[in-house]
Amino acid sequence: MTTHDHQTPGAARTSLRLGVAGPVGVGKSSVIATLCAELGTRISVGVITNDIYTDEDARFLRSAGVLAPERIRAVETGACPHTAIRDDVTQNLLAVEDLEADFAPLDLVLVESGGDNLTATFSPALIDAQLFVLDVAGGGDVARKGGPGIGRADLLLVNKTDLAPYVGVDVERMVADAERARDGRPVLALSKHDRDSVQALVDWVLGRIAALRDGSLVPQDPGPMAPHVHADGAVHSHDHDHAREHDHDHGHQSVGR
Amino acid sequence: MPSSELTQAAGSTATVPAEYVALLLADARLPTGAHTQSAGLEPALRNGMRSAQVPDYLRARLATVTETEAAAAVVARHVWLAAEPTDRTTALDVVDRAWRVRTPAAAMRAAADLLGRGYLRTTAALWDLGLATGHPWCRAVVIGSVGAAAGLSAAAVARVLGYEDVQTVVAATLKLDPFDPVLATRWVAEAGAGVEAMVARVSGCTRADDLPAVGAPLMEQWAQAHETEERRLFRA
Repeated sequence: MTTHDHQTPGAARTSLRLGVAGPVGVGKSSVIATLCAELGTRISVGVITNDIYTDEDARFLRSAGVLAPERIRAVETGACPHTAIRDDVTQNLLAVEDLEADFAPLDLVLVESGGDNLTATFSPALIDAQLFVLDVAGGGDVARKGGPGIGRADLLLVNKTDLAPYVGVDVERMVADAERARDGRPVLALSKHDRDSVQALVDWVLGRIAALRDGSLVPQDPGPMAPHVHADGAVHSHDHDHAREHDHDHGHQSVGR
Repeated sequence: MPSSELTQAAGSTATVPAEYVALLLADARLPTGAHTQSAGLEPALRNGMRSAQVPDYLRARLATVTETEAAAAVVARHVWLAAEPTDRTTALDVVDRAWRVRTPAAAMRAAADLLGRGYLRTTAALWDLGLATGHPWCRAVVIGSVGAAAGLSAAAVARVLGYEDVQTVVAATLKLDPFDPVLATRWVAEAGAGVEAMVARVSGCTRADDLPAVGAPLMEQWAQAHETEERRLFRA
């Protein structure tokens, strides 16, 4: 039931729906403000926020003055930020579709999660690609702890690298830990004061938009579950085709449960 | 099941037992975005109502806003079955408007429209409802139409609305002001008698003119105030 032909096919839709997930306080709103400031005048951008305490984040973004206020909308989550981006995405989908209709043609819709815990990631039914954000101030060991967003989001941001000297974190080591946890998927050390890192983020986002439009972008679910290990030692994540997943007998062992 | 099979099933689900469909519609796990709603409970608590008064709050809703909504769903079911498929949208528009003029709080109408869209999004994949897209249908009309397409009785449609409202309020209470969920479940069970009395009052409605116009001014005022409230957890 997890094939995605019930949603608008990527080829027909030209706006990239980009999720921004990560724990509270890592700078998700700030990353979105940076993207709006960099891209808001070059391409057509809209933002949906999923605050736990509703429109706090929407207010921050509106007051940042980086995007027209009417392009920033808040979705309430009934204190269930996890549900609203993963198992019942209805209200977010309606909000995204309304935004796309009201400001057609949009190039980029940023959907900010409500800052749930390390296990909260976006359903591919809601977004085309997702960022997972950590920050150096949360501690250098967080990347090593892993989790679905850290391990398998399309891009992992290690944010606030300018603060590293003040919190005693070795950025290079934190990035290396993250790269090990991500099996070759990209990691970007970001500071809004580091021009090169901001440009790298912008380029990545523009690359995703291009990939959506040429049909090569396939939404991936980072999964809520840890990768599991088969008896033969092969490690599998859950981002393979669900229709086939349940046809064969795994006989696998879970790790860390 | 691949979603291609789901798509093929649209319009051919009449053989699913009506009681099963009623359970499906009333299940909080049905993806409609209903978890963002508190049926006015959050603004009520913010305005000084105590959690212990929730059973009274449920009784007041069942006698006012919920009765109106359930009656609209019952009439929508009747109209959907009576009208030619090509006339359904026009006939249901009359029901939708009748509910709208009896629901003076714009915030309550907006909440019901949002839920109507959520229900329609999900149920239109299962039943060929024939509702025109492009303008909002209130939740009552969507549930009444699904009930008609799925073979639910008028009473079953009204009961789904009543139960949904009760559970929405009680579940939101547990989120906002937690206490023993066993007691909360007792409140839901005890509200059943009030739901059945409401079901009996509205089950015979067949025309838009039959809809009751019973207001709940305090709840309406709270609903309006909630729209501009900061730091709310629930949409309405």
